Amino acid sequence: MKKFSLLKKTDETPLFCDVVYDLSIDRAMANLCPDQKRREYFLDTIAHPLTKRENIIYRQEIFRDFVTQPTLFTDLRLLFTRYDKIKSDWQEMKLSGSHGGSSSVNPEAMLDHTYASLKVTAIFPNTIVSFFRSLYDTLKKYPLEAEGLIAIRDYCEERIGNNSLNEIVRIAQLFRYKSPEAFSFGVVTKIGETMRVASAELFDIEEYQEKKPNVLTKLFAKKPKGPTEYPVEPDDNSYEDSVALLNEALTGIDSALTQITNGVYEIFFGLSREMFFYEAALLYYDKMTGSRVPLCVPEILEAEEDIVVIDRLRDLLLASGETPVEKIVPNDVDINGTAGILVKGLTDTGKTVYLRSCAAAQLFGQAGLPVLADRARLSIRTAYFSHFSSAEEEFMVGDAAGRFDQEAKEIAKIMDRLTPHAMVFLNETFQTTSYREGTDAIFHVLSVLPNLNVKFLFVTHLTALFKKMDKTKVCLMETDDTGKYKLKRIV
Amino acid sequence: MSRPDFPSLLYRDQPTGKPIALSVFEDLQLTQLIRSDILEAVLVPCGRENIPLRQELFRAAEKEEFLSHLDALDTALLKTEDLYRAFSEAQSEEETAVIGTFLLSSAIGFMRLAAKDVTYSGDKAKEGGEGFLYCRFRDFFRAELEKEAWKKAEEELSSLLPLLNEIDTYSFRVHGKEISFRVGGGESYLDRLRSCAADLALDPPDEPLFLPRQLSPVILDAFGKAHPEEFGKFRAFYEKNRTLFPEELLSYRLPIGFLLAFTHLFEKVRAHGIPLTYPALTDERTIRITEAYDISLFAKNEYDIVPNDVVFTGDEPFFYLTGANGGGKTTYLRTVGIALTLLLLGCPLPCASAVVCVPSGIFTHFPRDERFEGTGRFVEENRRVEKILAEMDSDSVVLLNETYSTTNEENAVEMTEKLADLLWDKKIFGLYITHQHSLKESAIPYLNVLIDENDSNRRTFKIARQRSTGGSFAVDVLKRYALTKEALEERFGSGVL
Repeated sequence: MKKFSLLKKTDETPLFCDVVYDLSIDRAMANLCPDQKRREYFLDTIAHPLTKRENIIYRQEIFRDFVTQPTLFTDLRLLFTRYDKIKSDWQEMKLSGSHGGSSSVNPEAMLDHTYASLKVTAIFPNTIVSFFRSLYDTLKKYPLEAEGLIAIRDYCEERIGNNSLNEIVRIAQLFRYKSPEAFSFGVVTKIGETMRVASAELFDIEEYQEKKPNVLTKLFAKKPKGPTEYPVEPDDNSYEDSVALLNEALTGIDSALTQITNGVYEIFFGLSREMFFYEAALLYYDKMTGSRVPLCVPEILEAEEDIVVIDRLRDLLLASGETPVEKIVPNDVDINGTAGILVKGLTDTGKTVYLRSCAAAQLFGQAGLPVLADRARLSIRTAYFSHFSSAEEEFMVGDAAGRFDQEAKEIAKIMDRLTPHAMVFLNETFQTTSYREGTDAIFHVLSVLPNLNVKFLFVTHLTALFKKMDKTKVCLMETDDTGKYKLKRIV
Repeated sequence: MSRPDFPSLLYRDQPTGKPIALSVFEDLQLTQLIRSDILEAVLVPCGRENIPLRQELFRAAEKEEFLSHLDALDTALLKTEDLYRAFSEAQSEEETAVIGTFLLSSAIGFMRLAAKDVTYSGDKAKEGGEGFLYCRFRDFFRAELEKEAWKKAEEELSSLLPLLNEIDTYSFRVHGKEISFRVGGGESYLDRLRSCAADLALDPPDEPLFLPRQLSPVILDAFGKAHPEEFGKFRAFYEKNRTLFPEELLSYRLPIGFLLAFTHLFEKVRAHGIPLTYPALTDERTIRITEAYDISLFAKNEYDIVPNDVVFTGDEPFFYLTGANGGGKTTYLRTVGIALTLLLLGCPLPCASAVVCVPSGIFTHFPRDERFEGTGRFVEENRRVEKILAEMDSDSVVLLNETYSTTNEENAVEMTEKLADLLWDKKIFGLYITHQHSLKESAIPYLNVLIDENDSNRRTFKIARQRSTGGSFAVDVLKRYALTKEALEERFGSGVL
């Protein structure tokens, strides 16, 4: 049975992406979304970029409906939160009723325990059907455009009128009240070759009514039609048999109802957490529109088209903070027809900002979100890798040989995981050895990346690398050293 | 009808080999790979005379037809065993009669299956003939079923067994202590829920876990009253044939289980590209196995196993085995132990080729955890050594893994030398893994784990006959991580920038 998701239409193979923290997307989101739970869920979603175009568009559409109809978002958040709680309520009720039950060897106590468990189970089919009704009533109020939300609404409508679901509710209702003594049960059994009972299933439950002996009634009563009833002379053993058979039959119902209810329930379970993503995304949207930072929904292209074009891209971290929009310098990105971008420039001239802006835009776009640019055309990337110089990271102490060893190890790990159409972000890699050695080493690494159609964006002080690179194959850029944070292409 | 002698499936006559200790199977990790219920069959080596006969059985089991046949025999016996257990627990006449009838039917089913022509069609079992063990087994049941008593019982059963369908369904009405039932059933709520689940495209609910329950005699008596005629027929049949069931039939579960367990293990071995070889037996004191594999690594889900050669001769029957930790010493020891244990059981060996003399027994001495009681570790270790020395003979194989590692170095060196010298002098086949570096020069040759000096001291898991060489090797960082131009281009193609 399918399971609805607000984040994707069809299943995806997870891709490798361990760049969120290197690229300071977590810091930007800390400015935008103070709630840790929601922020972490958002970051986790960003760290798992979608790989199918249809899924990205699916998410874009849902986000658009939430942006244009804010009460739709709040209504759904409330409903899905309640819905996700049904399961924990159910488990809690089951646990509170299970004290000493299953471990008891007394058959009657076992039967009482089984019936108590079944009574709890019997509540939930109806609860779930009621939710379908509420969800349908809510969604029907809004002019939906997102395919995902329309599918949920239509599904709920079908479920409300579904005969099988209603039959399940009816069967569950039979076990909602009272205790086993109040009923007379019908149990059908099958005997095997070993003369053991091989199965016991319930086929009838009716409230017990004591038959008072009446001589006249007995004398003139017609013999009931149908198969002959054989009374069993009760003794301790036969009583134990009947309790055990009944217990098995009720356990069978409890287990089947539990599994079926779970199956029906699972279809929408977990959507309240998926709403965390949209909640954080709406905060991002509100902040950017409030600060007049231009946003655009990127055009998403298949990986094979291999296009990354972004006009007037702005930095997410700066925009998420207090920096006014006028002070955030937009830059263009265009990797078309090249193996990647190589950036050089003096310290504090915007090289790293450019790198992380580009990565954030690509990741947000691939997550179905608008990006901070005037226009963007992005091909899907099949994996993301980043390497930030160990000199800047945790290896502030230690000898250079050890740091270079560590860097080489990390780069080797990236090389092991590369997939066609992946993207690699490198920041001052291999500067922990001599410039000549570092230049040669990274040149060989970058040189083989085009063989896999892997794009790179490399910020570096290894200026000799620029001379080694073929300008027609790599986009060489440098920052403006006048403090304007503007990057220009080296022609 | 007099009781015949049921023929063995695993031995021509009774086994003659010395039993192998269970600890050997544990040390070699073979207990992780085979079913525990067949251990009884593997603890007894089959003896040289039975090895070719067993090899034939395993060869036959490589064919799908014979293997399916063994599976079917096993299933039939399992069912017979269940019925036999239920029969022993019967409390009422009705139960005894019905179960007794089905027990006999199940036994006949097994015998019919056993009598079938499979793989060795038509051949009569003859001494030295192909498939001797199996053909003798098959011919025995073929002859049994020709007897009048079985023929008559079989004929009557064909009309009696379908009666179960008429007496197998009852609907109980239960309220407190009041119970009644009627014959037949009706649609259960579970059936209705199953059908709803199917309509909703949900997985069908799991079938309830139901332990077959024996009903009380009162209820079974009442069943008898509900179906007097049908139960009467079962009683009459049972009374007439009650002495026919041969309990000896149940003892075939062990040999059939043994053949199946090892055949399935060998299928897995082959599936991972490891060759299996039926060893050639020799009277010379020599063990030459090429490319032998430690298949116990399967238990750790390791399948990329490095094979090694095993050579023991009359001149060099015993070796010290030394080298770096994690280099494959214990694996090599198990490789040798597993190959020779399988040889003693008449199985094929996981190797490319093998010419071997048949050892009289196999002994292992591996480090133990703290399970032993009441003595120190060294005392316990020494006691196990003494036991091996008492039980071994000059044709035994002894595999020692870091024996005497629980005492101080001085003592350990002395004890190690003493034990190794003793085994060497007796020309016992064996290996002794040791970390003792200060052993005196002796005639005992060394095997060492090999490391690849040209590849970052990479462990090759290869074992070779040479002196240990220590030391470390400097390597270039980029070379180590395969980031040189050559390494990158080999993996990703020529650089294009």
